[in-house]
Amino acid sequence: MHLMDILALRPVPAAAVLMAITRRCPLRCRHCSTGSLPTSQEHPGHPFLRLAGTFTPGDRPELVMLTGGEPLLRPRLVRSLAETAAASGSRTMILSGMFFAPRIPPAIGEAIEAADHFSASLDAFHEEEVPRESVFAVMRTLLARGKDLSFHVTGAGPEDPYLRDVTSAIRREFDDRVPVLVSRVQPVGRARALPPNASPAVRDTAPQEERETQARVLPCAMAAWPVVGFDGTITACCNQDVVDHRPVPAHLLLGHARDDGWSTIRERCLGSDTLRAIRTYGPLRLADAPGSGYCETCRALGPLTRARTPVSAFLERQVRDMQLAAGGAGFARRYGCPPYSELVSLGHPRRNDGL
Amino acid sequence: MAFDPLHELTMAGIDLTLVGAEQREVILSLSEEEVALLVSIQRQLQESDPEVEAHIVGGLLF
Repeated sequence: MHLMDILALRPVPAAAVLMAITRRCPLRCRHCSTGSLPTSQEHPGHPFLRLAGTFTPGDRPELVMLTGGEPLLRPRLVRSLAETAAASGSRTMILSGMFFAPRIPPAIGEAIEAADHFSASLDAFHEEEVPRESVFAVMRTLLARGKDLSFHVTGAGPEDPYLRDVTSAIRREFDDRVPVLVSRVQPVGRARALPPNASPAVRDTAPQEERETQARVLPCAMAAWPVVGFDGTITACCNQDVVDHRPVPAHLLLGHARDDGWSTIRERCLGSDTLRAIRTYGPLRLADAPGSGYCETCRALGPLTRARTPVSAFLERQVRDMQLAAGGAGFARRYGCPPYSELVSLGHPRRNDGL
Repeated sequence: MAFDPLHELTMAGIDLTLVGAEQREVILSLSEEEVALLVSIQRQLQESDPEVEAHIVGGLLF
């Protein structure tokens, strides 16, 4: 499963489910969005497995995305989840910080083998913990085994020289066969403590930019995939503050992996008037008094009740289709680092030949 | 000249070639404000400026 195929699903409600199966991570990256430590919270695996066990061939997500913390600290759970999901036809993706590189321990190798796509995080902060060459060694091995791969690279912004260096190195090392999703470090988790000059993206929103943004209708593609948090709580949004904080705002709470099946979660995701409006118009348009930012405004929304009319249904579908038409590169341009957005097509049969 | 939602949307680059007769009726009933909303979204999706606030879980932009 190529990264482009994964990103193309992003605007489709309930097309995938994200599972953050542990907050623990042995690395101590200075930009870690989850503030992970080796001793961070970790809950029993059975609620995650229970939810995957409710998938059926006729009612399942296309994709299960496993993240953390470091999901490969639980290789047997990863493998079980991938195998359970596959039994109903769902595919699985893993994102790892590569703590185990350059070796691939047997249990981790089996977990990766059970998944359909493997993505490695690589950035200046990870490179303080795991050498680039060690990450490349693992990816070379996996590529030789025929695994679909990608890199998830973060940097300070379009002018960050690190991004030029690392993306050139990836392209050279893997002969343009491995796609790269480039994004900007965000002020979340330990990255909140980074000095502004270390990461221009880590800053408060400029007042002018904020005012302009508040006037905009801006649909949210992120209110589409349910997210199972570390404790099994299922939210409609992957914003880290929503995943971490309790109570979850009512309009963003979908259920709990301990109690609810996929069918119920999917119905709540698709049927909520508030979520449909957020996906179509964005929170700034819906709020009586927009807050200090896009996501903050969303978190403060109350439940909305809107009659579904042929026009509202058309608008909803049309906005989704316009995002789908933009494809994986459109997603990367919108949410990532625009100058590097086309790198998501590397290795794809219909890649951008202008690269 | 009467307001023509289909024309306005097509001129904005919104692909409506696949809509059926029923959907076409809905499009023709759109108000100017609803058409302006779609055109505005289309333009913003084509802009190269990234979102003000990205969404991340587990270090993953998704």
